[in-house]
Amino acid sequence: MTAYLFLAPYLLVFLLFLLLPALASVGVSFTRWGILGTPRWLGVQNYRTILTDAMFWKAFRNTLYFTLLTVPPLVAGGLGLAVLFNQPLRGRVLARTVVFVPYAIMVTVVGMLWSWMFNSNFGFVNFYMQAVGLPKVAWLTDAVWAMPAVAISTVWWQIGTNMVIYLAGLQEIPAELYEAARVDGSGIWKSFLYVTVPGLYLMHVFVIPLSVIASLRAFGQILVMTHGGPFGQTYTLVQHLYATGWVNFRMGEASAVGVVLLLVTLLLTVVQLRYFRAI
Amino acid sequence: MGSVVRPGHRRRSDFGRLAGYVALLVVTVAMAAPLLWMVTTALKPESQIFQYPIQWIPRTPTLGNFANVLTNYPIGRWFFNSLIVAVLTTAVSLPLYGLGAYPLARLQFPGKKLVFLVILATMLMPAEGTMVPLFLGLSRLRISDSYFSLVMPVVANAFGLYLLTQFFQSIPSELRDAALMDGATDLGILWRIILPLSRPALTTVAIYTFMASWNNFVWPFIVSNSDATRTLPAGLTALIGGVDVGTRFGISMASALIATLPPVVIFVALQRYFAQGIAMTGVKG
Repeated sequence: MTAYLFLAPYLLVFLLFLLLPALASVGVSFTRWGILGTPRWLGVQNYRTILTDAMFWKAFRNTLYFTLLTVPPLVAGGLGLAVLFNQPLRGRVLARTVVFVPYAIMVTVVGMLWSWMFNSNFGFVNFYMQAVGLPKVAWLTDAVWAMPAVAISTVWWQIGTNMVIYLAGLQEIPAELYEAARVDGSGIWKSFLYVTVPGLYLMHVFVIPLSVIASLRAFGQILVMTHGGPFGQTYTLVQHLYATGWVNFRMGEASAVGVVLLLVTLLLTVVQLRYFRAI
Repeated sequence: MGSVVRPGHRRRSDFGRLAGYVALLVVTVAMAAPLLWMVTTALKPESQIFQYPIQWIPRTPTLGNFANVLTNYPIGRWFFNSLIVAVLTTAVSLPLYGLGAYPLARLQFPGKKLVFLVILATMLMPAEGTMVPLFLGLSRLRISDSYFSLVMPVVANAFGLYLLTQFFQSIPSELRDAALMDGATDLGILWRIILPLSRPALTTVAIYTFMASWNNFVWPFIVSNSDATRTLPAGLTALIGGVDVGTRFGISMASALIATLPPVVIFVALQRYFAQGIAMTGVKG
């Protein structure tokens, strides 16, 4: 009983502000619900509406595309940086700090900064691209390049977190394993593949699903940089949820989008954890 | 070891070191450039911002952009709100997490597995899924636009509780057994033994909570609709959405810098606590 007395204050907040809203979102998704007025039961009507809405599917595809563009560089890049910072090089502490600092920056600022970086006429990125002889790109207003541009800013922002987690993992791999691999005649690449990568198993189980979840939720940086444009090319699921609920005031439908986002996240997480045999 | 150093071996390792330093330099420059660019732009007068070729050092550095932002926009108020909300969130969270982590780490009780599992599962859940009912409920009560509704959902997030639970588990349970023999209560054990031993962990959780609140965007963006409660992340979107500030990059970068300095200073100064937080999640072995 003592246990529940200790847990009560947190559990109360947890129930009221997390668990109940999460469960209620399923209930709300079966109703017609404006901001005011009485809700009306609709059954699965909202799901039929959103699943036949072209904008929903556009948002769905864009979200998956964004996830595909960001997760591989976030994971492989984070791992590569961790290996680099694990070498006895002078200046690595400073470099590590610089790589980790963007993590402390709020998403709105990330969007504002990269809007300016990617500015087509006076931006930093185009200046250096032209300096090395590459053509100018209208990054944020170009239908093809807008999503990669948003993805680049996201990788810059988030890569430090993965690096730090992998770095913590690298320090746990026993040096004898590398020694043994060397004795067996493995080069740098082989010992990376057969010692480092499997040795970081626990980190992969943590880093990869969390990177996927974060990418599925992308919203703020996109809102600031492109508003989902051009032509809806960077319009994501959370943007669709926001537009449905708080621009068009259709709370029931917004809730249905939220439930779909939850299910997609859950499905992808379970698939990954199964792959890692973690569950 | 007594191994023979072959001439080829030495050369390869020199090459490896050189490649390492080149990589280190490239990475540092690429990652730091956007940050330096933000600072440079913020310090330039408007006439010099759109000059090509790019100038890294402003010819006539000025604080004009900062003065402009601070006098013409309620950024001071947003900053104040961010500070209050982050401090309140941290102050409410720590006692709740401390109390809650103790039974999860140290006591056996019916339903423990279930409670822990449910809490863990919500950590993997996108918070956007809970926003609609939360917003509807708080608006019905007419308290959606308040510090209260900015603070509580962040407190409910289980990450800090999870970190503390992991840390408490690393404290030898013999300490509790001995104290129980001496007639101590669980509250006394938590207060006099566990918490004093957990100062670094508590600091880590406090910093994480503060930063999570300071940088929290989607929820405040939805619930705050007045400058009385609006925090910086949501305020800045209002600022750049307004009178063409979106393309007045001096103002934009100056306000970005104001919003970024506190967390970056805290972060750089207390970096080791973040590394420790990661170790505490249990992913480290």
